[in-house]
Amino acid sequence: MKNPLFEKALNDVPNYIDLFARNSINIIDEINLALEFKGWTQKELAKSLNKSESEISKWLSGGHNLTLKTISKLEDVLDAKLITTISKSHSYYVENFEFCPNIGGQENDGSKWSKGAEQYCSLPIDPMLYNLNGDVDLDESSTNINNMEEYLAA
Amino acid sequence: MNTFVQIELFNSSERVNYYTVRYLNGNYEGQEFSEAEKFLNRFNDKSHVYYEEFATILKLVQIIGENGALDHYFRKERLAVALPSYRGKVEEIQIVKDSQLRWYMMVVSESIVVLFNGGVKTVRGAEFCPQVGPYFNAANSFCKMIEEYILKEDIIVSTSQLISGYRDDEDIILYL
Repeated sequence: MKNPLFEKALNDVPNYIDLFARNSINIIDEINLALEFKGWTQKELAKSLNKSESEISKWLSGGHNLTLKTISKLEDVLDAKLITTISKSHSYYVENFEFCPNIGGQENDGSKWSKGAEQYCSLPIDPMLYNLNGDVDLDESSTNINNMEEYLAA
Repeated sequence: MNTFVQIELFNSSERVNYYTVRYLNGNYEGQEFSEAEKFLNRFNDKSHVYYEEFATILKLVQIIGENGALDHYFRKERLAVALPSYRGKVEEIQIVKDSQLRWYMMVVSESIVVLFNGGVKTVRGAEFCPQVGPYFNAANSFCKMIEEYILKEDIIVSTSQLISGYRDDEDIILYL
């Protein structure tokens, strides 16, 4: 069921707003993933940044226009990479798997994190190289990170 | 005098079914536009001073439809009764630091969201705002009523649908 008024309004939205909204949601997902990975609540994040909880809540709501400085502060206290640029992303992730905890073959509950690494890392990860789906024949140069613990142990 | 509203499916997306409410007249005939449509009609105008914020909210609603209505996408407004089985709250999407545009909604679950009306908040405390207060208060009334109906099983919350507790194919009507 599609509402014609809603669909028409969506179709009229300028592309840059679509990109802004998607970037915004991707960054919020990254922040929440980093919070979850660190075992922090928004309250603890607020405390570490010396901000009020309501300010943090505002930062983390959809569509908030986070500045690069704010993102950098968040990366600092969360000890996690939240954004990167295309040319840097490949080498970064080869060296820093742990910054993307969702690609370690963790159990998904079918909803929250079930979209996989591409969605929640916001990065152009090559599935052939990393075999994210676990159903691709790998050659010797590929790295299977379906089970991150095994990979790191190896 | 009682007010009657009907809950109806508004838009289906990959992971979320969006519902809305429509006021019914005395003869149970629905008004021309639902509450979500009224919101769209008021702000979907590229010359409107709040168009950019409106367009961003629309896109966020679309993306949330693709990802699921996860908790961290919403700002909480007033809490209704918190139940473990669903999230009975009036929520809003607020965008851009200085924007005061609000679209109120009730997140029933990650796959069910009820969209109400909204507007531009001009004073602190939405309930006291002459612009957005009526929409905020109406959203809270709808939210409270939907919650009561779910508790009484007059509304059944399935995986991704709201269903009448009387008959599957029956319209869901709230008596406010």
